[in-house]
Amino acid sequence: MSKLDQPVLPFPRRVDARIKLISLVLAVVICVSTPPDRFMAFGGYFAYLLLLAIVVRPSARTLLGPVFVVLPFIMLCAVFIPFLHQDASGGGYNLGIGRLSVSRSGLLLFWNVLVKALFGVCSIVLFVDSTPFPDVLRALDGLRFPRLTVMLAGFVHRYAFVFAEEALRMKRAIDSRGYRGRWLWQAAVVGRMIGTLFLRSYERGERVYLAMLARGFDGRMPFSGQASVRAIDYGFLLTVAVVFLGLRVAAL
Amino acid sequence: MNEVAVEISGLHYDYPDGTVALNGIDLEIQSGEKVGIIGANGAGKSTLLLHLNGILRGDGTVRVFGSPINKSNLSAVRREVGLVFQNPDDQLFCPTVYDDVAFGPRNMRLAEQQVAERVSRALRLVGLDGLERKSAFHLSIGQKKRAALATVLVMDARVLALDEPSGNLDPRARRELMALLKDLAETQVIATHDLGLVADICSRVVLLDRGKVVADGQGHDILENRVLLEQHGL
Repeated sequence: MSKLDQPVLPFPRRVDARIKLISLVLAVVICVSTPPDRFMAFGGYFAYLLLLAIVVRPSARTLLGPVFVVLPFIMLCAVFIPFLHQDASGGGYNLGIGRLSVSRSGLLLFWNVLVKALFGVCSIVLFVDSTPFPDVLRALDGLRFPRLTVMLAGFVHRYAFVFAEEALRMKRAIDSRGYRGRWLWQAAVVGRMIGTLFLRSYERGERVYLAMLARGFDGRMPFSGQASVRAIDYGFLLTVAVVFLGLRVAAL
Repeated sequence: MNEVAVEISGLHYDYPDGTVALNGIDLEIQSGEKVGIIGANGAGKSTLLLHLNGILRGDGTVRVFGSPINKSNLSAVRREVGLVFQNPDDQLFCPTVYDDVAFGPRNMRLAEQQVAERVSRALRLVGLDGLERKSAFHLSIGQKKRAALATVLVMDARVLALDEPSGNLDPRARRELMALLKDLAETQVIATHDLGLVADICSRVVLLDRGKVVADGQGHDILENRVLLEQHGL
């Protein structure tokens, strides 16, 4: 959020959001299509991310926060693969704990899932951190995403914080009246709180709609026009495409 | 100048749950007038404002600059009457202040160039120029209130209908808002509990109680009549 209003724009922030979005998808697709044992190519992909990170300079928390949210899920799904996967031609590693062994192809598969997920998450974090959210919305609209979806995303972004504040105020109010949340019967209070929040959001939705009507809303969301894509933007896209395709072809 | 801006006759409105909100309102507001609508909670102030631009349509007639509000002229009426809601978070729903202020003009299908000119004029008027790219979430309540006002000023509305414009404001923000409202030449209909604001801005006061007009006259006549005010819950 703090980066939203930043007036100083280093290079990646200035690139047109549509171009950034396209290059993001391009990079991720190429990375995912790379066979897992082409370690040099992955080295190249992550070098690109590192370069981006140096210029965008996200805080450690912005970058690592999402990684640590996603990582446990991947681990949970993928960590058993090396144990369960059988090598076709033998060549696993015995761990020396009973008969526990890991297979070579299983390990490779695990690495495959891990490295690609990590690349995807980091690219998205860098994209989001270098692009103000209104620009992301405008880019999605420019790339012909369904307008209703874009509109919904805009509303979620605008009101998520308002609701979070409301929930916080409500929590303070019940805390100041001695609520400790220790006993099972107190769970009902949380239930009612959620119900109240839902009702309030519902009513707010009605009021927001009225406010939109009052300014002439007729069911079609008016969006601003798009700025034209400049040479520097195309240059960025071309560079990403050449580097990634180059690495991918070299890894064939 | 003495054109009738809003003319309400025999207006009744019941909420869907059966609560009577307006019970026979007759009111005529001249162009350029600044009218304070006062009354206790639940007297019908906000409901009355919602009728001024056809968001609610009760029984009876509401005329705006002579033409009765009906389905076919709704968008024209909403261009004439700008409604500012009590809670600016209801009014500011776009990702940036600019988009919010531009929402009305874009609905009027103006060219983006004209939209930009109008937006910068409106933001300058309310003293928020330079905050175009901000998200409403990052504004103070005073700034949000002024941004909400800009969202209707930008439409060149001739009548401003304001619901509790000074609610939740600190004294300085309230003073600034009052100075701004005083300077605006538009016809203003202000529903509020803030009697100080009414005394300062409004030449005329309308007192509502249980959906009826119980007093209508010069500001100071009504505001100095303490017995009357106390009788009707103020």
